[in-house]
Amino acid sequence: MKALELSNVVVRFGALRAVDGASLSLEQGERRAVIGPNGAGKTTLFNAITGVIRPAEGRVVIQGWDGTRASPQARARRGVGRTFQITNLFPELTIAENMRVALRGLTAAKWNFWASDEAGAGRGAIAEALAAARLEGQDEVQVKHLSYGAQRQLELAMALVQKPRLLLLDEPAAGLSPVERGAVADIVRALPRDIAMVLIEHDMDLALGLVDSVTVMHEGRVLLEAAPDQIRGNAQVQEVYLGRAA
Amino acid sequence: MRAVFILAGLVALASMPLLLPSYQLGIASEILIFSVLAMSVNLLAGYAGRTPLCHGAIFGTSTYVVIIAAAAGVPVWAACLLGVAAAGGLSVVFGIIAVRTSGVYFLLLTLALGLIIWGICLRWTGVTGGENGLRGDLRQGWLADSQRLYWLILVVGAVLTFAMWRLVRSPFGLTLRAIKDSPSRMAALGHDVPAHLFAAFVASGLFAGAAGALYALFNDFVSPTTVALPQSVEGLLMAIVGGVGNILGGLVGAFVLIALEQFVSAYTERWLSVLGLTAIAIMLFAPQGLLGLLQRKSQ
Repeated sequence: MKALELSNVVVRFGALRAVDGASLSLEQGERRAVIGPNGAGKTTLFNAITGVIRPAEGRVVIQGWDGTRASPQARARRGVGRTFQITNLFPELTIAENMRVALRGLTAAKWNFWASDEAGAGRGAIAEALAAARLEGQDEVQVKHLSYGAQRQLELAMALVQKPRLLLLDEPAAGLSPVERGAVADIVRALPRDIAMVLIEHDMDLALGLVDSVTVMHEGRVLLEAAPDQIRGNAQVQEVYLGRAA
Repeated sequence: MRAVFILAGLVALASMPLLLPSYQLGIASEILIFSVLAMSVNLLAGYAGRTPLCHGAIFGTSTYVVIIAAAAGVPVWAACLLGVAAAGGLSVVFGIIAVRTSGVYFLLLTLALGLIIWGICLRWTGVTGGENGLRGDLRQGWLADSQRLYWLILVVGAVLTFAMWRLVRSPFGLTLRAIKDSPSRMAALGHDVPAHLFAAFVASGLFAGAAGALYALFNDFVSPTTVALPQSVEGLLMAIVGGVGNILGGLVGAFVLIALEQFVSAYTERWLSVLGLTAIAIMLFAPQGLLGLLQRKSQ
């Protein structure tokens, strides 16, 4: 069974076809980078996979389940985890509270009206995810007081604590210093190999060093699929990034 | 230490009937009732990030039902339960309509829903008594004594406050606080945001309904003024003045506004202007409310 299958997905914003018939297939455990210049439709494609946007045409099949019309929460329950291009956390809550909210997203514990919030909160799973994201020892720090790099790491930890089977990372290293980018790359590299992953990243070196395969998008369409080695010197890729030589 | 403070506070509140004359005891009862209303507003405004302007209508609906049911021969305790149930039912309807909106749209939608209830109470004269309202006959026997009534209100108010305190500190409460920060992230994490907001709306409405039932016992009279917009605004203002996002803010806000109203109105007819200016000053200089200001000073 494929981790993800997109068939002719179309997303329209008025007259603009932001994603124009994109198809993509991902094996379980495969790591795929989706690259392309600004406006290529990468984040819109992510939003179509996660249910933030419903495609006008095409199908989104997750682990053999047709989720084309499903809500974001239904897809999350099917094992789809994601991080956001611009960090999307709960700034007024502490790291521990952010993690508990993430963990409970997939359980009925969130409906408990009476017990203490801290009781039975899966401390082991939370500690494991925070360790994987290298964010230990700061549980009671309010997220609004964290550095941007640490917020990026928390985004990853929150996705990981849900034990996703398909993880979508939307520019996880955007806005970080070279040292922080290296740290994020190490974290992503160390993720369990059975998680299928789709990565959007503008830093080509970073992206190509983390994945098994690459999909190049341009103007909403899939231009090319190839191994990372074939992408580096590809004339078509250079053309969409740099423009046609005069 | 906190338990000692709470216990001391409860003892102080419980000793009021022994210290205060009848009129002031009435004001203390009113403060307790409206603090429950303000806390119920706070559940939505402070924790879920949805500011309602219909809680006066929910509160007043319960008051109407208690008085009408008791007049029809239903025992007072059962009439009170019916009042809370009616508030819960109304909250279900309001919640279904309102929870998919946010910000100013939520505010205006709940305002409109509250106005509908006010209009019904004003015009459905055969049932509600129209502008003249309805006088009840609830303060009989045990309830005729204002000291006993105060203690009853205190006990019920304390139980409701404890329940709300548990709720906001529960996993459900944390979910609400997270929804306030980022609904889109919550959906991506698998949370059903509208369902949680709906549950919070109904819970908040039940608490407002309980306050309305206590108000029926206390006031023994209800009119369209009880369900009117100013009642909703007052509940919200109490929550803001005390501190949104802090469940005891409602108690502080109710105390400040009602005490100020009683005190200032004894000296000037322009007491509403003074209240307004006070509320503006608190919002400008203590946007987290008086409890928020106290907490900041103590840190």
